[in-house]
Amino acid sequence: MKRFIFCFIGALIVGWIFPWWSVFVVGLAAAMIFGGAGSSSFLWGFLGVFLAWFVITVFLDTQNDSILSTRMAEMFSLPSGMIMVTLSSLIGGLIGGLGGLLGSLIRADYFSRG
Amino acid sequence: MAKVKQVLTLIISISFILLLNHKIEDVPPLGKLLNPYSGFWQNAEGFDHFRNKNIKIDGAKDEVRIIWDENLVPHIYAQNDHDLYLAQGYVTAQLRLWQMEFQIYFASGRLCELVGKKALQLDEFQRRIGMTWAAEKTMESVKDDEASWTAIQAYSDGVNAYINSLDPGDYPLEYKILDYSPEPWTPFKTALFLKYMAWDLTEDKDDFAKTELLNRFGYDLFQSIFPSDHEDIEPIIPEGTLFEFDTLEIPKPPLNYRNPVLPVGYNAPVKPDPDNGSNNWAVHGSRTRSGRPILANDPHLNQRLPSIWMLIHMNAPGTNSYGASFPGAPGVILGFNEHVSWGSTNVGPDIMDWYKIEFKDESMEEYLYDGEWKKTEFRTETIKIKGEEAKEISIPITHLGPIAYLGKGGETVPSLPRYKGVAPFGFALRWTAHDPSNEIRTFLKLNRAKNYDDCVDAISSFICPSQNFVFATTEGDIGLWVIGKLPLKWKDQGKFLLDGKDKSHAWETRIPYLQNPHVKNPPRGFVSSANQHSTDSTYPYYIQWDFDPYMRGRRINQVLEQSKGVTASDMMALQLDSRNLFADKVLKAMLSKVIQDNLTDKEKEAFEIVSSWNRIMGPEEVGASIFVFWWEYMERKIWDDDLETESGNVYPDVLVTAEMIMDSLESSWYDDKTTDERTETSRYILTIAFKMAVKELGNEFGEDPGEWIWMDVNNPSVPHVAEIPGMGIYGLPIGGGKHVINKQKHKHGPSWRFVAEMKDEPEAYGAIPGGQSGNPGSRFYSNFMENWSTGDLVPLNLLSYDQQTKEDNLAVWTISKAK
Repeated sequence: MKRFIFCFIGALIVGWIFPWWSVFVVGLAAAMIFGGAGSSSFLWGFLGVFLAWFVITVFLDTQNDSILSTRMAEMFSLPSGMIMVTLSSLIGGLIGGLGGLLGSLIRADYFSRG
Repeated sequence: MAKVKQVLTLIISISFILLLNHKIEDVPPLGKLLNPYSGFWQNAEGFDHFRNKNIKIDGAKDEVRIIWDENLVPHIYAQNDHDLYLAQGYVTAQLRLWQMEFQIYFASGRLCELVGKKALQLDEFQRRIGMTWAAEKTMESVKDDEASWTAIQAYSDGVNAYINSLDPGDYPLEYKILDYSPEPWTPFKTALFLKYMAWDLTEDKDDFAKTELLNRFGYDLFQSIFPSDHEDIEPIIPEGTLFEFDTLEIPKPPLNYRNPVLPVGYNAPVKPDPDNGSNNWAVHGSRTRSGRPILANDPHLNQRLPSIWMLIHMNAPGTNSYGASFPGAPGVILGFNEHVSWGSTNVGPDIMDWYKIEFKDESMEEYLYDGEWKKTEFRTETIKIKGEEAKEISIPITHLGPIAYLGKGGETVPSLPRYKGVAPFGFALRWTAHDPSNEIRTFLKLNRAKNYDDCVDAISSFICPSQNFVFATTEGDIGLWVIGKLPLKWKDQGKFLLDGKDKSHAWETRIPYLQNPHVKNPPRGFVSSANQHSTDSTYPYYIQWDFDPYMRGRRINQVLEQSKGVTASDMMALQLDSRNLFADKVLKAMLSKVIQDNLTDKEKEAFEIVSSWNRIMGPEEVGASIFVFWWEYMERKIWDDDLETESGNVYPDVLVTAEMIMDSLESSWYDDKTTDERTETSRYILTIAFKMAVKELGNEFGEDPGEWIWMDVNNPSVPHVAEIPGMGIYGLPIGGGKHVINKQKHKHGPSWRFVAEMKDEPEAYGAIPGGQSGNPGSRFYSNFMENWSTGDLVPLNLLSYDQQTKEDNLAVWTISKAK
């Protein structure tokens, strides 16, 4: 749960300053700081970043009356703007999750040696 | 083992990130595009997107104030001309940056830099017809005029100030989808933009195909279907207008012009739309309710989003004008100021001709002209190609112009059936857009014109593309001028391909500008144009042989001749008029020739519908759909077997076909050359074409003829400039079509609707088929569409900063000097 909260809050912040893939580092840091198994680190990284991106995109989409997400969905031949929200969040989630996985592997390796 | 897992996870992660960070083939970089911080979500404008701002720009001389009104029209209040154009550049880039730049990539043959070698043919073509060469010449002329040079530079500085203020997350959406970044703007790009418009509005007269047909049929038979003189015309300059001036000596046609060489050529990847057209008129105070003149204009272009036009109000000491501007060029292009209003339509004179060049030898260093060898210049251009080595091309340039295609070596003729050839091999392109010109001066002067004479002075420097300009002033004058360089030609010079070594085939001198066709305050109380013949046969000079037929012009004139007490809203209604005079002329005769016994029940039903059609191209009319399809199949049936050429099928003027169908039951043209028997008559052709039309409509739009409503068949649409799916508008529920005032033909139609009543304080109205913002994520992407569709145009005011009501405004900006 700590990893989830760390990833959620971290993802809300880092992207405004660093490149979009900086959420990878957030997931990685969460796993390295708080530890845990690879699968759970992936999951919490995924969920934390997914939810953060979901919240931001839903907010931006609402402010925009879904004008652009609807057009983008049409561009990708997808049925609705909400799918664009989900797709965006999924990308963030996967990057965060991979960060979590790598973080837990490094930490496990470090502790097993240490 | 642990290390392997780590490295593996790291590699997978990095690959995944890289994959999502780059455009692969046509798939956008998904991570960059979809992330909420810098991806497309940042282009999703929120409710409070437009806020008051203070902007600092290096080079601003004084404070500029900009009011964004409720329609997102910027009202610029500057204290000097420099700042006025600086601010225009800034706000235009703010709304339209991607479009401005993309048009330049297109015009200058640089699309390969964005999309790779698939655009190579197109890029090469733009360079070989001399687009950048022409823009360089325009730059020299612009530099000679201080006001134009100041404006074009300040405009460029304004655009760059905006570009420099951007982070990648702020880039317009299309940069993110296509994955590239904006470049600095330059004055040269404005010149390129003007050449882009010149190309778009120069009508290609198919010299190439016409020459092939001349060789096939001989002069007399050719002229019988492509005549140089037409009996039934409605000239723009009213008949009876006297042309009283000392004319230049008019050249005589040389004897050899009827036997040109037969060319082989190149299928051009771009060709101006043959249906570019427009309407404008100005009604004198004697015919209006207010007693003051009213001007109306609707230029027709390929419609696209972001709109080709952007509305703007520009105020500085000595100028206060409002109207449609081109993203990419300084000033108001079409509109009004406190004293005058102006509007334009295309003339389409023959200002683009091709000359066969005879080189001394393979090196092409010398060519024959008038018995002497002249030196060829060579221009090298480099086409950069994304992901590949650049391609260098060498373009031979003669005094007649560039030789677009040589037709040897590695040059192949690509098969592009939609765009047929304009460029014969080994021919030099002579085009007035290559001549020194300063069109910017015209618009800057019009923005400051105080009366009719100022307007006439303003248009004097305009070269290409030739336009019919109408004027109306608060002093009560109305007038119309055919503007641009009209070459002094012998009759039919350039109707066919020309001989580059024969001096008598060349043209250089123009018709003196004050002798261009024009009329001021004619007795009939109005002036008008709709791309038809400029004058009747009393005009001493030859302009061209292939004007638009009279139908739209005559409809405008018929309505205006009968009108008294006209108001601005009457004129808005007239712009939407869809009465089809062409159908009035031909439909009855067409119907009378159909062999009824041969029709099936469904065909009979369709026949009944088109028989009782009111001849209005209304959105719900089924008769309109049947008529349009029927005419097209009939044209194909008559001409396709006769007029096929290397560079595509060309049809005679619709009036030539119409007269033939109405007057002659039999003709050798009706005969289908692909069959042995000679049985085809007009009755046969019209019956079979009718059957084909009904069949095709049934296939495409459903079995029940009641479903073939015109708006579904015509499908009025405004696609995105780069045709990106989801970013255009399709299936507008509106009427209109070819031959009617409201000339909305699928993706082509009125690009700007404007009406101005020249009271002491002019009252003007306008709308575009799109919106102010170029951002597909904006509420203002197509905010004028409704007003444009219904003809309920938006009031345009020239109020001062203090007079502007503030409640509805979206924001106020100030621009000031950076400390």
